[in-house]
Amino acid sequence: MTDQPITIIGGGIAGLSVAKILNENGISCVIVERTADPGGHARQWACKAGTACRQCFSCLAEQTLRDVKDSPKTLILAHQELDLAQVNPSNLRRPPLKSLSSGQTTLIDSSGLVLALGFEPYDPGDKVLLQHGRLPNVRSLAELEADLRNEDWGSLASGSEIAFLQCVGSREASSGANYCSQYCCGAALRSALKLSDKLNNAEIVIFYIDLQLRNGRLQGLFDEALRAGIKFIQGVPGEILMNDDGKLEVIVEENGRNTRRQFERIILSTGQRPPRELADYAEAFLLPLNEHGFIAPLSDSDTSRTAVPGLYLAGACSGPKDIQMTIDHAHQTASAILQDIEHGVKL
Amino acid sequence: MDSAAHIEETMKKSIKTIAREAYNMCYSCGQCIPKCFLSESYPDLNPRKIVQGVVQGRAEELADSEFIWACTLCGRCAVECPKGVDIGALIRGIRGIALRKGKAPARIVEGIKKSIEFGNNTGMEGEDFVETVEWLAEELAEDLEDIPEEKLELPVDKVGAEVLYIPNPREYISNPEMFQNYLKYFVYSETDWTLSSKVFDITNWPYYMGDHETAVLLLKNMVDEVRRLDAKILLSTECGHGFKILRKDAENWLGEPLGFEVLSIVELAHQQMLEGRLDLAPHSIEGRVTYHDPCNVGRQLGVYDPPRELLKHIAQDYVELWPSKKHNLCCGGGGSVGQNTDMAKKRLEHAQRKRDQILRTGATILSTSCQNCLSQLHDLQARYEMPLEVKSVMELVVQALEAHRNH
Repeated sequence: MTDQPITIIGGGIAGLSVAKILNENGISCVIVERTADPGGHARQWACKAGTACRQCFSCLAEQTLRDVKDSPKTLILAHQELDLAQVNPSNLRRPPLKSLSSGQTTLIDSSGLVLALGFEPYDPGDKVLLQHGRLPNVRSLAELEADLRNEDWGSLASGSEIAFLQCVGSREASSGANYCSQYCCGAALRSALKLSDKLNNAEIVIFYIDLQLRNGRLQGLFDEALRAGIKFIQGVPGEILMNDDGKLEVIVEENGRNTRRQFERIILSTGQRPPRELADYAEAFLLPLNEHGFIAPLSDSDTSRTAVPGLYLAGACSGPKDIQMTIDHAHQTASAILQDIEHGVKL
Repeated sequence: MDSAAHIEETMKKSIKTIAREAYNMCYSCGQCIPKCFLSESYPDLNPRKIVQGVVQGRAEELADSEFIWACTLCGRCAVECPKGVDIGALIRGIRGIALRKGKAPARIVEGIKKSIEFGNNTGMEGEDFVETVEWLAEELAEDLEDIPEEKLELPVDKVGAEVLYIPNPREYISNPEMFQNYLKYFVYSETDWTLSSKVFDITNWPYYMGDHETAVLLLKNMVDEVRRLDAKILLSTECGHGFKILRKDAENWLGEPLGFEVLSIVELAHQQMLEGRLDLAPHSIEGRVTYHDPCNVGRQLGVYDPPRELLKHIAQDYVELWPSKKHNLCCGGGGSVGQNTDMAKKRLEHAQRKRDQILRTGATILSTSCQNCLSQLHDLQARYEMPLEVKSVMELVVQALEAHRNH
């Protein structure tokens, strides 16, 4: 199995992390990346450190990309994608790659395939009453990340009364997304803390359904946020209004009474959705999707392998994940590949 | 009324069932709170508290609140509810409890009694109805000199007409111009239609009150009459909940196919326009027209395009409310609120967000396609002195037909 490289579809933090571990174990890889620039969503995000690191791990995207680029054992093919029309699920040794610039498909030699297709951020434009795209000061989490990354404190300081609305597009049976997106509580806590560090007189409120503080690190961030004076109000308003002064307003239940609150900026903590083309990938490899539209792994206890020998999953395409979870999952997938190589699994 | 006993039984049972479902479904996300136009008028209650109260077994206590009578069952709170909780059904269930306790609004209770006895909520006998509408038709004939008199003879209980038209009692009690307007429409469009001398009330007030059994009884009377007269289409006047029940609930409630089509008169006009049967003077309605989606016609039934396509064809300038369609704000007078004398003043105070939404458009004509909305919007216009006219879509359609005829 090791005579040829492992082909990894997707050059985000998941695909890069798989490549890195495999390289360190002497296995060569080909990363197929659709865009010009690998690194995925995580590489677009900002460092959230205050005086100390808040462990958002967005820096790892840059660092892992550098490691993989420096390694002679990985070849990154940018502007290319798997040609799904030509895929033969019973022969993964010759995956067809299509160049997005020339449109030409070539078969490459491979000894295993990893789908690291990531997620698609929920488009809050679906929620008309939140007025994203209509009111400039209603921003998505991804847009806030860009602002933070650009360190545009001047423009950010123009609005120091800030609200975060959690679970926008997550935990929503009515739109087929009855799941937690796993990353937004941490991302909102870290971003709120960063804003609180940088802006004088920041007044920040996080509106939530119930905070998913599933480990000590997130619990620590919550405690830090309380110490920083960030307020938490249960209940997420489903409508944003603008008053005559141009301020954003929401009506929420606070201390048992419906109360109108004003903000200068509202951040929508948008969830993760399966990428649009994920169903096509699943169909090409005859893999099932789970009820939420992510690719179903072999089993609940083996989330790296699939029913097709030699075909693996890494990262958010198997279900929503934050950066840390994605890296952990990628490591688990790399381990599964190394085990299979050791046991001589035949494709 | 001995239906009190069965209300106790059925509503108690169904509200428990609903409560169990809501408990499994609602996770208190609170999205509904700002969507409810009453949230600031009643700061101590909101849709979420209604769900929580029912789940916690406090439905009896909520039955004493004024909030359940200010609620218009508009359903905006439940649009995009992540768990799809039917909050309107909870309110109707709680109203059922109030009805059983004798705390329902007297005028509505009286209207329901009359509906059971006379088949309409005004208590008018069939003969009187026919006499009234015939008189209205004669009066109209004097104004319409260009129409041959026989065309203005009212078809009553005609068997095998294409359309059986069911009016709203407002048309022959308080607002006869509305009836005459529809009559003109039938004449101008040369529609094959009839009225019934037995069933001439599209409304279904027991539906508002959580009295399902009576609601079904009234529905069944109407369905039987359409079958007796062998009409192809049951044509609803511009009405909200009555039309919605016929279109969305009737087959479920009765457990059988209706065997005829249910259309609103706006949909019929739209169809006839597309078939080229209407001589509408294009863009003849002067000024800027906007359209208010009635909750039942819009949110509940998704009838968004027919009124808009008609209006865009006949108006000089058409502008949308924001938000509109499924997110439109309620007029504030639906779900029995408009008929409830206790709410007469408050329903206008509660509708300030509606007023602001309308004024933001700069429209000179506000139109809608539900007579309940129409009445509330007329009252809002007067109360807040809004610089615009309030018209039904069919009034504007008839105006455009007449603009062509007079040309």
